[in-house]
Amino acid sequence: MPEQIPYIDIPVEIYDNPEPRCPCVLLVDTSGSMSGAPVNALNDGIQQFQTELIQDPIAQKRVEVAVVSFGNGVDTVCDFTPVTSFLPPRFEAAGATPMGAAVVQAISLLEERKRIYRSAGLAYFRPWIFLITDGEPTDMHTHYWRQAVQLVHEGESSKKLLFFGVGVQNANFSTLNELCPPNRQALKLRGLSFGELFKWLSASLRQVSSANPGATQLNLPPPSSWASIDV
Amino acid sequence: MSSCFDESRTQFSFGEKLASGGEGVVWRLQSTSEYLVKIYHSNKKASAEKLKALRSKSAALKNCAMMPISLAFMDKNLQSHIGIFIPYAAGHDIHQLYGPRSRLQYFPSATFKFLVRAACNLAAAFEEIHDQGIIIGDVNEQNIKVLNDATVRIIDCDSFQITHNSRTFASNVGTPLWTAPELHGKDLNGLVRSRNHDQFGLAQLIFLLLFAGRYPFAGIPRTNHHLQPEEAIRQHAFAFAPEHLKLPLAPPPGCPRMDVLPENLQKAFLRSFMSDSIRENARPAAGEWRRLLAELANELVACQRNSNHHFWKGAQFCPWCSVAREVGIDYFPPSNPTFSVREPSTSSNHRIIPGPNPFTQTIPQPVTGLNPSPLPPEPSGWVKGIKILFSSKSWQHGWLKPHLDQLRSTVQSSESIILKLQSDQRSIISTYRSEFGALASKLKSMFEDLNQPSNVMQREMAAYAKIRMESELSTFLRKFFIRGSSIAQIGPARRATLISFGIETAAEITKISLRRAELPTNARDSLLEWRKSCEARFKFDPKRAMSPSQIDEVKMLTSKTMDKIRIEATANELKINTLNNEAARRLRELDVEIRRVALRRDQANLDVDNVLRVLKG
Repeated sequence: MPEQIPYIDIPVEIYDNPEPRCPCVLLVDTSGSMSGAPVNALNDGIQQFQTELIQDPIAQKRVEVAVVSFGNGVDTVCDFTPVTSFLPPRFEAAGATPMGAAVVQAISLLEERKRIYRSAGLAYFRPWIFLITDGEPTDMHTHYWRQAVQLVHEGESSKKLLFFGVGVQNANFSTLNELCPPNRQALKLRGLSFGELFKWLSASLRQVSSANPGATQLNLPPPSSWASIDV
Repeated sequence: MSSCFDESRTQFSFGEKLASGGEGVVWRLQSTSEYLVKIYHSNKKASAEKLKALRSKSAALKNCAMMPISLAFMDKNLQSHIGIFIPYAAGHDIHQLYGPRSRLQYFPSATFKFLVRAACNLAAAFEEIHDQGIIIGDVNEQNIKVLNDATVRIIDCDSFQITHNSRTFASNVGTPLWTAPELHGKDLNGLVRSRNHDQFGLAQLIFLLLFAGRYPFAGIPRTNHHLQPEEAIRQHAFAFAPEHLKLPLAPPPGCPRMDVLPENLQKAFLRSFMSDSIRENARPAAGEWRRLLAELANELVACQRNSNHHFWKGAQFCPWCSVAREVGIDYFPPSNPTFSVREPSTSSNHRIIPGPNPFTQTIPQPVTGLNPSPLPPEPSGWVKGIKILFSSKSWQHGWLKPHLDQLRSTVQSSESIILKLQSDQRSIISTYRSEFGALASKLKSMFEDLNQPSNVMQREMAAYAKIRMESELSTFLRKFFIRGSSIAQIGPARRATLISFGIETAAEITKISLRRAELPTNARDSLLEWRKSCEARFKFDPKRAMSPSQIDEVKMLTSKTMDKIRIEATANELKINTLNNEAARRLRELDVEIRRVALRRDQANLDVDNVLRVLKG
């Protein structure tokens, strides 16, 4: 049967560095309510996240980061890039909270990246989506939200991705937990300890991408340094 | 804690912290760079019995494993150990060698020959360790150092599995990507492992070295199911296995196939990775790998098109050329000076500056051994007739006086000529010294640059950071659209005007572009103000790591600069040589002249003395 073969451009960096990849999407809320101290803390946290990953010679070869922000619309601030060339963005907070559309966008970026990995014959670890929000979605009544919930839950149960939801300050945890996988409910950020949060995230990615994770169990460091218990 | 004791109660002070990990912290020592001390976290301490058993093998394995040489104690009583002393291993982690990009960075001149040698040495190290009855256990890409001569050192040896007095101390640790499939899902804590398990990790490392950093269990999926990296190992999904086996993974693009290696090596990989490999002793032993790789090393040939391409002489074609044609990447690029900044060998670049020559002015020594010149002849004829009118003294005085005066004037004029010539010499020397100094300091810094390309690279990096900042700023500013922003004085009509002049984002707003758009001053100021506010949000970190292509660009700029410096240095060396020779030539001429005049002066002096003696009678 005649078959069409889609064209996929494999970047040189993949041949140059055929280590297995660990893709991670940062999905960040930059809606108006984040303005001021929260968005500044977030910006500094992302900067620190890169600094720490770069210092690990193995994570440096394996972790790839993409950033999607939602506030004034959904913006792919940065498509997947190795941490060494990742430009930590600095966000300005403004606009609404189109969280559902952002999740859908993040997952489509992931799918695109995975297509490249597959055609390049590169191994990859379970991709991470790391969502940070301080409010509640403003697109809850659109198809985006329903699609987002479905994609996250399906992805989790089929082990296609790992979804982490983090609520900041007055986030609406009940809607957030609707999105989060049932086995990994949203965590509440203690104050604005984004620094600790991203430290934990980089440490976890380093662990997943290299040192001693249990062969079958995901064994991450406890998030006690940044998450408060009273969710 | 800032110091500790070894078993002979010698105290060692900690230096710099070298690494800190899950088990403990590794410190340098202040008194020696040959050894390190690893201090365990209190709950991760390896037992003293195990460490002592390992220590007993440290001498035997000193060329391949950095075994503990002594336990470390907090106090002089040697009560309870807190860590171990271990030899320091230089070199780089083995993954920096098998990763094609990191290889160019850490081992810039390593060709496939070097990789085969390193693989062979790795097998030899495993063989030596196994021969001592030790199992490495936690084989992984960060526990193995490769030195610049392709020899190999295993580190983190306290996790080795060792049997001592019929007691086996297990390794307890492992990472899924490096653990043999038969051990996946098992609790490694206390598990007794075999050589066959180590031989899985060994085979994988050898594969990575020979196949451009490709994992044996990574390839193009033949189905829609995504295999997690560990899962692929468990399923023996060796992507390079023969196609008819229909394993879940097909070989990846941009990588040679197994048939570029001798058949016995291909078989060795299959025996290591396929499902039969889990039977005890099924995987090739380290010694077998060593022999196979040593044979391969003897059967490598260079490609006719690129002498940096080496491959097995039995292969049908050069695999590296073939990959370059297939995906456009040359894993072993020709040694093109514009793309590699190599540390020069000290011998060829240890150039010295010729000079300064220790020139001095000529100070003529009195010439000895001279004979007085004959006196002028006495007057004759009628003049002689009046001789009798004088006393003999005054007669002589009379006819010798002009002669004496002439000799004295010769002495005087010679003296002043010598002084003049000496002052000429001094001025030549001082001009020479200042010209030499200027050239030499220039040349010295050039030589320093040539010996330290990293310094040149630093400078290029700084210059590049400036360019980078400008380009990143402009990229950044292009995200701020005039149409999406509210800017004082700018309504829809002016927006349209701006767009017609190609001014759409903050990046295009400049004084010149706004003047061209013929906007009134207040609108122009408002736009410039807005651009400034956008710029204020831009944050540039010059220390941030650059992308691989940016690094390549800096490397290229660096090697261009190096070439320029090399040419300039040669030109300056020539200049200095000319300067040396020219000064030497002119000084020598003056020297000859001074000596000639000095001779005349000394002769005249002698003659003066002689005349005076005659006159005294």
